[in-house]
Amino acid sequence: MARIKKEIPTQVDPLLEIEEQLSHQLNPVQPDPEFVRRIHSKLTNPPSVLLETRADFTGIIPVLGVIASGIIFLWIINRIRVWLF
Amino acid sequence: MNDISDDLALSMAKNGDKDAFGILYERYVGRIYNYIYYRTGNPKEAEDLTARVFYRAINHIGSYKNLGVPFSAWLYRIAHNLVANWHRDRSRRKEVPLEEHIELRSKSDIPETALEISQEKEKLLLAIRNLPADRQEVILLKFLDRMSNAEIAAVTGRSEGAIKSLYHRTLLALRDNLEISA
Repeated sequence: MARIKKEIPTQVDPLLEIEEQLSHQLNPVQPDPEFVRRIHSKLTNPPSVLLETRADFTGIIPVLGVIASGIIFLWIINRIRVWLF
Repeated sequence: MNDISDDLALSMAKNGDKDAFGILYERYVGRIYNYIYYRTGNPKEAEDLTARVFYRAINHIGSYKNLGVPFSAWLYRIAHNLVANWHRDRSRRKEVPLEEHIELRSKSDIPETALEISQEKEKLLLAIRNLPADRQEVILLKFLDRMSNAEIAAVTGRSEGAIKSLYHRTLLALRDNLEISA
């Protein structure tokens, strides 16, 4: 029985075309050498840890004291006026 | 010292040798930067995230366990997670398409043939950008890093067969995306 040869399509496989396109178009990019150096330096020479000290509130305390005293003084005066009148 | 093997550099880095970690950094910074650059499409974000990959790596190198996969697979996992977080945060804010960042040179500065190549590249990048994250990853690891399916499987934590199948489906999806944009 004679076998009929099927014609092989000459069209290029579209997936191969895409693979070729990807190979040509996706090129590696070089990171900025300065960036590479900077991060290398940070990784190999990490800065010593600085512990933050608590904020100094000592200057505010006298001011708050004066304001609190004033409020208490006004409150007392007000109470005395209520009792008298 | 620069010609020591990854395994030796790793074991020294695990013991706190920062210079040994510096060697690993020099070896892999370019690959990690490329991966992040193409995943984010933004050079500045790529630098920021690349730096964070290596800071995270140096902070956790003590707990690194060699499970027979390349060290790069571990770095890529960190990069993958950071990029995923970046995309999630970004989706809550304004989105800027990839093509606005990559090849940002003015078109008037580019010769005609180069312009055609640039436009073709922009289309391709946009088509890649429209793929789901796992498919973008397969394409970038295969074509930027020239990884085999087995290596990609190690990076992504899937089987080699799953990667082969995913890669084929990705090419089909990419073809469809390119046909739509044509």
